[in-house]
Amino acid sequence: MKSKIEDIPLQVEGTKDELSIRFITSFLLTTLIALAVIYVWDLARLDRMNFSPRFFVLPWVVAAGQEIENGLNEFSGRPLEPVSLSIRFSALGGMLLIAVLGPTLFLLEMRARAIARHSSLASWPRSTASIVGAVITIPVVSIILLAAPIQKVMFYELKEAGPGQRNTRDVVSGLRRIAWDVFQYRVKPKSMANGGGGSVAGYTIPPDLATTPYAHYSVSPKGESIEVLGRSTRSPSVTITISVDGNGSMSNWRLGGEFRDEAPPTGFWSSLKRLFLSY
Amino acid sequence: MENETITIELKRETAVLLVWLATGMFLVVVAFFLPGNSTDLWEPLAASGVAGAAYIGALVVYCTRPAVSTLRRWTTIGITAITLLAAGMGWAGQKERGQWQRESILSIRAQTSRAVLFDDMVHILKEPYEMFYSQRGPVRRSLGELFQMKYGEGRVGTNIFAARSKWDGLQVILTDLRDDRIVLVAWDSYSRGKSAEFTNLGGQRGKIQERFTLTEGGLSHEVEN
Repeated sequence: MKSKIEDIPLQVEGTKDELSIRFITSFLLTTLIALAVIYVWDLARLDRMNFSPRFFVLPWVVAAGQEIENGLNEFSGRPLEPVSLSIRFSALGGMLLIAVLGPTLFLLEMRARAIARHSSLASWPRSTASIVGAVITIPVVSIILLAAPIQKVMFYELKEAGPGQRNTRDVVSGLRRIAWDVFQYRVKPKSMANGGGGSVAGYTIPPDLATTPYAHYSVSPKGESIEVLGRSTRSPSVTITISVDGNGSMSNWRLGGEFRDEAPPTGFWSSLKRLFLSY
Repeated sequence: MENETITIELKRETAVLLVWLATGMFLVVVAFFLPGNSTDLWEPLAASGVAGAAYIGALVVYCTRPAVSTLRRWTTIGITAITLLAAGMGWAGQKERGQWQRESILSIRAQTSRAVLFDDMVHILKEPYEMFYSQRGPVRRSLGELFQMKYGEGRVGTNIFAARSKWDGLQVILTDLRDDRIVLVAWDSYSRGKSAEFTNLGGQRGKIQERFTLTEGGLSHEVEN
């Protein structure tokens, strides 16, 4: 007991030299000044501050959102601009929370408890810090561990559905060309090749329009209009049927089949299989 | 004496906590701003993520050094490693998904633009074509003349399309006009075409461009990019 009491003051003396209040103060001050300089420098480079905070615990979700927003801006023909300060700080905030604040509070408290020098309830600032650390770290770790495979499966599903939808648009593209061809047929005199002389009766699809890399098309007469059926080559269950009149106007749209290659199987094992396939 | 010692120890631990926090924040913030500001966040997040992972690694080593049991040490290291791995996977997944969705959006834009472009061309060419074949009597105008009647003379080499809004990037240039031939080249200055290297008629690069040639026999359509 006596020797232990003698040991402790030696540790404390060393600690006091190494981590004096002066050292800590200057360290924190330097850090704060450096961060302020970075902030002002960054602020000066931006033309405007558009504050619309988008806070997510996982900063890469903010980055993915920005990526999609860039796509939407390009979609609308707007020029891409540097990421706004509020969004950058949203991402940085998430990163500081999950990489610094949570782990530091949590792990240092864990060590303090493990070596049993004192309980986390020894003083209120420390107990608050340990609670904050646990509140941040435990859900974040759970979210990270759960979100990674779930996101992967969702993305796999999204990609599966994508080609079917894209192919549908390609089928529609061919229908537009056929609609013009029907108009052209009706306008041209009968004396010309592929001329209907004012009527759509007898119209047949030219071979280059009947089969494209994306679809097969067939026609059947229906009164003063033509019914055109387009069937996707990639997703054969996808069909689009329309009516085209002699003016080339398309109407009476009917969609058929699944807008994907096949309906996804359901159930635990199928989901597990898709999870592995997605990797 | 014992009370004084405990007080000093607590202060020391608080100081250690503050030093770790300040160091971590400094590293992550500096790494975040180091790549500069661009149109996306991936580079700043990658830099700060590496700094954050290194910081967590150092913190785990510090917090699990002896006095902490071996079992607790390796459990903490294992959970940290798995979490960092899952975070990396989540990160990569979100990046891939974000970029894929952006590409999908741009692909939809390109396909929509092509559809709109085709409809606009049909709208421009339909009337002269129908007028040409509906003429009766001995005096008949050529296809080129009928087009000029509708859109005015001296327009070869100019844009004959009036934009619907400031976001409408469609340009339609009448590149050739003869009695038996009308050639229109249309491009959308906002939609990406098949090749990024393609130079559009207006001097832009990589945008969609299509050529429409109308003769008495009908319309031929060529996707140039």
